[in-house]
Order: sequence, then C-alpha cells, then structure tokens
Amino acid sequence: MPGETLGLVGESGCGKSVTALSILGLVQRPGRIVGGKILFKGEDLVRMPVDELRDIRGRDIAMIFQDPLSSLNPVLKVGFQIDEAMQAHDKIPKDQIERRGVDLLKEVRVPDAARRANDYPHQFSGGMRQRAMIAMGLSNRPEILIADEPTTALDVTVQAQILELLRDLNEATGTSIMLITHNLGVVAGLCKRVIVMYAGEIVEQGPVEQIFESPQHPYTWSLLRSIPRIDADRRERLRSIEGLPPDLIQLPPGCKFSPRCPYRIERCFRDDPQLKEVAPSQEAACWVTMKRAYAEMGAATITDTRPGAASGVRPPKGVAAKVVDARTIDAAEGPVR
Amino acid sequence: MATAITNPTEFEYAGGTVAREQVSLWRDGLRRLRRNRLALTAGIYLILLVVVGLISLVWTPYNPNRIGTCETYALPGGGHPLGCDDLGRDSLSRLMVGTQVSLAVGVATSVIVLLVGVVVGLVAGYFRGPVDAAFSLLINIFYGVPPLLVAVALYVLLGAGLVNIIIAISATVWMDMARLTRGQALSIREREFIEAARAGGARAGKIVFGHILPNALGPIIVQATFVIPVAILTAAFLSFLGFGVPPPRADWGGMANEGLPSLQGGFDPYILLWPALALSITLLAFNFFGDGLRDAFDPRQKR
Amino acid sequence: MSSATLDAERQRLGTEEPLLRVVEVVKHFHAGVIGSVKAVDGVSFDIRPGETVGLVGESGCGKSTLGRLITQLIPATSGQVVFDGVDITKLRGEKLRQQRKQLQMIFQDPFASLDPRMTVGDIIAEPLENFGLVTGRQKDARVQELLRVVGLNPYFNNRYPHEFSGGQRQRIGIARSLGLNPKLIVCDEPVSALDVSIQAQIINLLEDLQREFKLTYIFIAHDLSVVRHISNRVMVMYLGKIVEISPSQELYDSQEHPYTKALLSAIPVPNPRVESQRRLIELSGEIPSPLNPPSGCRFHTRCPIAKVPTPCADTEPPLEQKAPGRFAACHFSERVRTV
Repeated sequence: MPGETLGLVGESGCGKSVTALSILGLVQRPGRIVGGKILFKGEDLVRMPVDELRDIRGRDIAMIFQDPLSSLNPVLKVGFQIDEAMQAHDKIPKDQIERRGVDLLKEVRVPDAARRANDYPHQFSGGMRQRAMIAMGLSNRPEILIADEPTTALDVTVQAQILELLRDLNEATGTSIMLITHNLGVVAGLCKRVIVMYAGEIVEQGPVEQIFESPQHPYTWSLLRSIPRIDADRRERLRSIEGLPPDLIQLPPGCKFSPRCPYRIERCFRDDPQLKEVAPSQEAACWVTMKRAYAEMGAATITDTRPGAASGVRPPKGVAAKVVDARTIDAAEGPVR
Repeated sequence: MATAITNPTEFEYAGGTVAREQVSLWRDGLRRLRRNRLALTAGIYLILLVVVGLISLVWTPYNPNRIGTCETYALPGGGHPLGCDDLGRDSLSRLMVGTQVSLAVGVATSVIVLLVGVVVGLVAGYFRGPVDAAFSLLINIFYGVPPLLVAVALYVLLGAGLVNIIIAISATVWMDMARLTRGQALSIREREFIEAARAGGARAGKIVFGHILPNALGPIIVQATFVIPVAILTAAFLSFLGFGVPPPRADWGGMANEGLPSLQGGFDPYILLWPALALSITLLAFNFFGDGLRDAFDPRQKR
Repeated sequence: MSSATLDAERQRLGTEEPLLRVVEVVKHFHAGVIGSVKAVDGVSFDIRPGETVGLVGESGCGKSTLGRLITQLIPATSGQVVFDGVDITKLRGEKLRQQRKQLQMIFQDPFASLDPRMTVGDIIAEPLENFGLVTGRQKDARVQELLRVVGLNPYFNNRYPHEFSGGQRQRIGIARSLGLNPKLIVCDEPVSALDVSIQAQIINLLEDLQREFKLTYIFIAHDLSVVRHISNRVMVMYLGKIVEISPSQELYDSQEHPYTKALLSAIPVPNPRVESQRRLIELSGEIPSPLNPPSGCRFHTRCPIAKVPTPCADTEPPLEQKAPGRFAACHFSERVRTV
C-alpha cells in the first residue's frame, strides 16, 4: 500500500530475498518465476517486457542491499554514482541532478555532504556507505524502497541511526518501505505490517502489534520466544526451535514447519495449510494456530520445545522417512546407545 | 563425562541429517574431471604413452640402436611402419624408446620440483619474516638465471647424462612451485581453522603438514602436472642442441636433431616428423590434462 | 532471580580465588609508518571459577583481540594474564602448549574454523591426539561420546564439515573444545553467524555444558541481548578499553557509563510497544581510529555529557567501583542517568 512500511521476516534461505529480487525481475538463472503475479499499480511485473521493467527498476521501485561496499563501484566518486542513478531515468531534470545529488546526501544526514560527494566509497564508513546507498535509492523519488537486510552488516548504534533515517524518510516523503530482515527487533521498530516467511512460503502476516502480541503460527510464536531480549529476565531459558529449516530441494509433505513444530497434529503431515484469517486483518497458514495450542496443549507453560512435544504427535510411518529427509532427524544409520 | 545432557531419542538429534550425500572433496573433483572430455582424452593418451614406454623397456619391433636394420632413409612401409633414419635404424622402435627419456625426465623433474618447491614454499609461507625474506631472495636469484646456461654449465662440469639433465631442469623450474606453495601457505595460515588447531595444542609440524599442506594440495598437484611438459620440452630442446642424452640412446629431441639435415637435404621429412609429432601431442595432452585437473580440483583458479 | 539468591551468588563468587586475572594487558599491532593500532590498551579484570563473563562492544573495539590474548593465540605487548596462578604471557613453546589444555576457544565462523579436508572425527580428536590423550580404538569412542554430548548423531564422525549446516558445525567446534576438559572457554561470537532459530539451540547447549562440566566462559559478542542473557557479568569495551563492568541483572536498569547507555538505547526490542517508546541516544560522529585514539577519556569526542577540555579530554578516567560489583571508567557516572 502507498506509504506503508512492510517487514518481511525469515531466516536465511526462507526465500525472502528471492521474493524481493522477483519483484524487480532480478532473479538469476537457473532461477525462474514459474507462476503468480506481481502487481504494481495494477500492472503485472512478471509479464512486463524487460525494457519496461528496467524503467520501473530504480525509478519507481528502488532497492538497497546488505553490503553497501560491494554495491558501490570502488573507482567512482560517491556523488557521481548518485548522479548516474538519476541520469539513467528521465525523472529528474538534467540541470538539477548535480544539486540534487548533494541535497540527497544531506537528506540522509551525511555530514559535510558537498565535500563527501567527491569522496570514493572506501573513504566512507559502513554506516555512511549505507546512507549513500539510500540516497541513491531515493534519487528518483521511488514509490517503493526495498531494503534487503540494510543494517545486518552494521554495528548496533549505527543500525539504530539508519533505521531512524528510514522511518523519517517514510514519514517525510511517503515512500513505501519494504524491509527484509531476520531481526524481529528491527521490524518491531520500523514496520506497520509484517510478513513471516518459512521455507519459501508466507506462514503469517498482519499488523505488527498483533503479530508480536498474539502470533498464531507456531513458527512466529517460537521465533519470538527463542531470542534473548534485553528487557526480559535473563534467567529464563530460551525456548529454542529444534531441528533445522528444511532443505528447499526436498521439502517435507504437508506443513513445512511440521518437522520442528511442538504443536503439530496428524493433519499437518498430510495437508499443506493455506493462509486464512485468524483475527481481523491477520492471516496464518496453520491447522492448529496458537489459540488452540494455548487452550488444548498448554503452550503457556511449555518448556520442552522438541518436535511434537506439546501435542505428542509423531510423524506417521509412511511420512517419517520424508520428514527425516527434511533434516530434523537421523539416527537410522547406527544403533543409538 | 558419561552422561549426555541432551537426551536425544531417535528423533531429536540437533539438526539430524545432512543435506548432501557423502562425498569427499577428492571424489567430487574426480567426477568433474571425468565429465571433461578433452582432459579425459588427454588422460587416456597419457596412460597409453606410459604403457608404450613400459613395453619398450622389454620389447621393440627392432633393436632401436642397431645400425642397418634396414635401408637408410627408408620411407614408411613394409616391415618398418615409420620408416628408417639416416643410419638405417627403425624409427618406430626409436620413437618408442624415446618415450622413456621424455617420461623419465618429466616425472623425475616434477617429483624433485614438488619436493623442493613445496618444502621451501611451506617453510617460507608459514614462518614468514626473515625466513620468508631469505627464501624469496633465493627464488628471485634463481629466476634470474637463464635455464640454458645452467644446463650447459652442468653439461660442461658433470658431463652428459640423464640425471644431469633432470637436475639442470629442476634447478630452473622449482621456483614457480615454491612461489605458489608460499602464497597458498600465507593465505591458509590466516584461516580460522589454523588458529583453532593452535588453540587445540597443535605443534608447528602438525599445522604445516596436517592442515596447510592438505588444503594447498589441489593447486600444488595441478602445478606439478604443468611441470612435466615444460621439463619434457626443455630436455628435448637440450638434446636437439646436442647437450642432451648422449647417443646412441634414442630420445625425441635427439631424433629431431638427426632428422633436421635430411629434411634440409630434402630426402626424408619423416625422420623429423615423427619425434616432432610425438612431442607436440604429448605436450598438448599434458596441458589439457593439467587444465582439466585445475578445473576439477581448484575451481576458483580458472583461467 | 531474587535479590537474596543474587547476593548469595555474589558471596560465593567473592570467596573464591579468581581463575583468571588480567592485569593491564596491552596489545599494539604495528601498522607500518603510520604508527601502531592500539587494539587493547591496558585492560584489567578478574574472572572467578564457574562464572560467565560477557564482553561486548562494537566492531574494532578490541574484544576479539582480548579473547586471543587470554588464550595466548597472540602474544601481549605488555601486561599479565594470570591463569590459575600462572602468568601465561611468560610461557613459551612446550609450556604454553601444555597450558592450552586448560584454556579453549570456540570460534565465530563455523564455516572457517573447521578444516575442510578433515573428517569430523579427526577434527574433534585432533586436540586429544596433540596431547596423547587417546589412541586407536579409544579415539572413536571418545569422539562419539563428544558428539553425543553436543547433541549430534555420534555416527557422523566420518563425515566432512561441508556436509553440515552452520549450527551443526558450531556444535562440532564446541565438541572439539570440550575434549580436553578445559577450565575456561573463550567463546568468540559463537552465535552471530547463525540463524535466529539456531542461536537459541547453541546458547542453551552452552548453558547446559557449563552446568555439566563446571565450565567458566568468556562470552564475546556484539549483541548485548545475547551477552546479557548468558552472562553473570558484562564488560563493555570501547576503543581498546573496558568502560564498564556490571552484573548483567542490573545492566538494563541502570548504567554507570554513557556509552553503555547509548549502546542499550540502540538495541531493537522485538516488541512494537516498547519500540514506539524507545528513545535513541544518538552518538555524534563515528568511532575514532584506534591508530590515534582521543586523549583523556576515549569516549569524550562522542559523549553527550563530556566536559571538554577538563577533565574529559585531558584526564583518562580510571575504571573504578561505583557501586557494589559495578565498575565504570567515567568522570561523571552520577550524571549518566540524565542522558
């Protein structure tokens, strides 16, 4: 939605970056978009010809990446690279480009912007480089800014500054921001709406307060409880999610989270749940949902987080082998004890 | 320490299975090598070459050194498929025996270079500092010496002979191997598993030969493969110039030398053609095979 | 934990001799003509048996260097590291090697810290073989026991590291460090390279192992939430100096150094309500170069409460006790509240 801040959360390999790259048609071979639509102002970006998409890229939808050093050309001045981004599209009048380049650096709070525009990327610190990247991303006044792990490589104090900058830019310019991250704290601070991904699928989405306060998918719920929090009692043992994310080449049948889920039921191994509304404007893809897990399986007091621990459900015989392949288990190779 | 803390039932080992099938890095490389047609063909040719060399030790169609086996300058045909040379010796027999010299020079040089270069490179790269500076100086001095000069000097000092040729060639090509190994050692010693090994109480010898060497082995073996054709070519060149294996022993360089006048005289191009052809194909084969090895075991270092 | 048990804990810790005493340790790296990088510049602290001490700071603050000084993987420029009564900075050669049995390390990068050419069994057995602790058939049995202890399938001992995921590799690294039955393990960012859902597994495992084997940890990380969770005490580093040492229970509620306060204010909390209330203490400028650190208090160039030039820019504040168990290096720690 225009002006929105959307968080896309998931672990590495869950497909969140690929989702973003798909939007811009940047998925590299052998990757391929096999189906579905990506609608931008009513137009389907998947079917759009390459050169039209190129126009949209950078002009209407801009993207910034985790590692600003490798996204900037080391032998060109930072200011020149920002100007170049504007020259690639005709959105900004030519005579204004150079002044706007410096203004942009000021806007992203690079101190002494006029002088720094003549510096090379290696003369910038990590945080300043990311600011320069944001300036470049904003140069054509895009409607959507996709930020892929923009603060992961940065120190926490610098991260806080970049997030504050993004928040202010969103409020001042109305640019929509799609933030891709594995850090739930970052999402809580910046985003209004959040999408949680697991193994290439959306498992839950909704307004940020609702998702953080009453997550309905066991994955979201577990993820929130597995991270140590600076404001919590430190003695509490972390509730880890056991097992590993599945190998995307060999996905388990049914719900992709079932091999790790403490609340799974038999059905989870059979049918893949679709997203459905679990609360106003909140959707989750789960046969159980946390409401039921609290009511029937004692989720409030669970300490054993091993797969199936709360529900007592083991994978059915025929499926067990496939669930094993989904990297939760393996003891079939030798006698245990 | 008998009790395990986590009490995994069959279903709860952390992370459980591993995604990929169990393949060692070597087996993975061999598979890649087998898919490379050119390298595979080259490899088969080289195996055949070795077989021919071995056979020639015990059997050749004719005695390669007997003069007058047939008519001088006999063209290919009859009982002599490759013809005869200026002294009436059977060319095929000589060509087969010549394989011995080429392979011996190639392999022996490669082994010497491997030993000297790897040890020098590992020591220089691991200990760095003054040790490295001293060895680097030595390497640079050797680079400055023209190979031919060393060979001729050794010929003058020690006389003709296969061993001297091998020593001369080794002395002029070991530096590349030392440099490569040194570079590998320098970068591998900075990797975290080396630090982990030190933290685990590993001694220097264990770190150098147990960790650095195995991780540098891919490029080292590839480099050793490339030493072989260089040595063969140099040896043949020396023989061609008359500083090589003393006659009457057959070797490809010497045969080419003997064939030159007959080509210039215009009566028998074949005497020169056969050793030249054998030499070219062998050099190509070693290079293709080396390239294949590099692509298979050292994918990052592609041309 | 109630305050009564906290006191008891403190008393228990207070009565024991320190396992590790670091005294004015300095490490300068030569950087050619431009001078030397003062990575660690006069650091002192004690660690008692059974304790977990966290070490946090931003990149370049010297925390990893300090970890390597404690394990003597790099020699100190000056100062002492007294482990179990022995100054290990004076040890060389075989004596230092013998000392490594007591002092182990877990590394940050689970992909780089395991030799890719060795099987998991050989990796775990290597320290044991270095000290002649296992032979022949014993080796497999011991390796399998260690694998089981860290929650891995014991029959994985013939596999190669590249077949494992990051979390599993980190478990292998932990098994390797446990084999020698060390007293102290320096954990250098052991979870920062791992996925969120895997981090908790490793943290829980480290806590379990500590209880089981009476281990003492130094836990180095840039993530203050993780450090505070696992540690009894937290040490905060800035530009090669320790600026604050505090029991982790008390750290979130009050700080004695403005840098600690700024660091805490920057940590995103996974709770939108808390986040909307959060007030970021923005530090001016960037971290100065450790080649040429600021005079006096190193933090004064970015400090919101510094009095420049006197005393902050000309006198270096010592690390002093400000309250029971709480130390800070600040001239105005009583004013940190007002930041």
